[in-house]
Amino acid sequence: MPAKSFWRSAIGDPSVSATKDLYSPKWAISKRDGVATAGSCFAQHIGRNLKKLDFRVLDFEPPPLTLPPSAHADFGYSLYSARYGNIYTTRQLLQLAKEAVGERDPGEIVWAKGDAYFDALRPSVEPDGLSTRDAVLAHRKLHLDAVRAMLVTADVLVFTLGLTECWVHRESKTAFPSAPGNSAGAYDPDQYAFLNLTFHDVLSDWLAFRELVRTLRGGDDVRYLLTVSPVPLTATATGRHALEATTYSKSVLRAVAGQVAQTYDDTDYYPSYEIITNPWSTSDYFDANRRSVSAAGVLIAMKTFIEAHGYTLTDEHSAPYETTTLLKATVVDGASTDDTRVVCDEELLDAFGPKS
Amino acid sequence: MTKLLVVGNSQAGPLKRAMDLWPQRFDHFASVSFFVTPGGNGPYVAVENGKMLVTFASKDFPPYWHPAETDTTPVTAYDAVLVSALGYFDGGHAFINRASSLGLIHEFEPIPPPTREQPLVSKGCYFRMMQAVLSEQPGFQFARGLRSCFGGSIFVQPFPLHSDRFLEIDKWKLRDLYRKPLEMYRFLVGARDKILSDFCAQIGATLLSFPDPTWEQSGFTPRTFMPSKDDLHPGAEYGALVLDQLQRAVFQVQEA
Repeated sequence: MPAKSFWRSAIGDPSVSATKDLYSPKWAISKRDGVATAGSCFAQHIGRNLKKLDFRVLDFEPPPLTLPPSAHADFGYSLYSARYGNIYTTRQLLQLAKEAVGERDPGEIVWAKGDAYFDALRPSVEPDGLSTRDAVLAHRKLHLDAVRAMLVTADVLVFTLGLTECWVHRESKTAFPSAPGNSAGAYDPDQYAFLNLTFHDVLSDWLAFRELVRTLRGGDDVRYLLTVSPVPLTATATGRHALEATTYSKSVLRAVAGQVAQTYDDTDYYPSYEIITNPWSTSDYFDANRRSVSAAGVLIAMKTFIEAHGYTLTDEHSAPYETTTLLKATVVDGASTDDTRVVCDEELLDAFGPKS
Repeated sequence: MTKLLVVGNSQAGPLKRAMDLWPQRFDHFASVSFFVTPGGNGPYVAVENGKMLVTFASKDFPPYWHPAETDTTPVTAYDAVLVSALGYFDGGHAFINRASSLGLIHEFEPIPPPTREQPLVSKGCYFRMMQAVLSEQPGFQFARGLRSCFGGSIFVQPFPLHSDRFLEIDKWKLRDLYRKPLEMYRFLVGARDKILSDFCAQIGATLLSFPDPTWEQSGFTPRTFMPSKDDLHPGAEYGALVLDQLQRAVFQVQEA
């Protein structure tokens, strides 16, 4: 067996780079491939780095021409291949795809906050909301057109599995990216229920999504690159300890990703989760809050991925992730630079949740 | 006596006319010099080696300064500079201005379908786009550059509100874009004013209000002050009111 198969030689030996031979792509991603990205916030890093290397990263809802780059993320632009914000669960992904092809009515998805109205399925893309319910629906219609075009066009879909926990509308079964009342709307236990997806839920969601895309494309397959977000849960609604809930959630997602990648030749799994979270990963890979992935963690995860695909992150490409510089910046002010900015709705929960 | 330099675009014309018409009203207040280039996005000027420099001028509309030595006088020789007038965003019935066509806002019922060049955006997003576009206008660039080399007081006059005649003008270009052009215009006015206010705070300049603050509520200047055919340029009476405002603002700064 090769050295990488033995823990001692692959990981236990401190003189060996732990990421060496960790990932062997199932298939190549060429610069001609149209790459779409979606999922939990960690997926933003993959899209951003592929863009830097001039890969054809698709964007079906590009930012308005005069919107300054520093404002793109505030309005959900340039994060993913459409303005869906973070898609934390496979349930969200499946229902979005179904809605985009006209197979599903999500029910009431406009949440109010003061005088503003929000798209409850992507509340983060309009920080101040819109001024009428009708405007939310008009924006959503264009968004769904973009999602549909993306599903039809992509050669490779990069999806980062993020969470198993979500809130659903009891009647419509629609799953939301954040709890009602968190960023907008109001929590009503008669209307909303907590749901923690099981292995079978996640797997069946994913398989249904695959089938929908396959049908939509007339049998023309897309290749899937799955990753699991290493970012722990900000909070759990299960009543369990956050660590236990995180382990459950990530274990389910990792198991489904493994199952799907083992079953389908068109699906590859990239172990960014393992790179960040395993024992040889030093604490450098998380920020001081032990939750956010540090610049050093992002750098090694991205370098490993890019190099395994035969490309190099040069100094110019990787400059914004320069380990020493960014680690300093992170420690000093806890803020990322624009270029490393990753939008996590969960951060809002963290900001307004209990402080001790 | 205060030495004042007015640097502006065509909106400085009413100020000059007011001074010429009613010299006794302003002579005691300041000795005023003008440095003006036409074009609503301007003035197209910069400070180079401490002196005023024209950065763009067309044959048909040459730059203008008064008195003759204004182009050779160091900016630091003045106590204060009035930048007239920043925040041009709508071409009125002449053309669709860039700042008023950056995107389409659903709430105002856009007529053309959204495109890559003119996408459907929220009011918040439009504000950020407008902020970026206005701050790159030559007039804003000049004010920023001026602040970097001039320690005296800087006053900024907002671009006048349209004539209320626009309410009756069918050829107002905003009507081609929206079924609710008036609401869109008022949104643009509000956005422009906030952008201008933020900008002045940022560079340490004093923003003048409109001569009558109640005009802000309607978004229009009463037509009696707007004699020009384009309904964008006020007359000398308006200019006199701005100079009155400026006098008060200068005194306030001097007293402080």
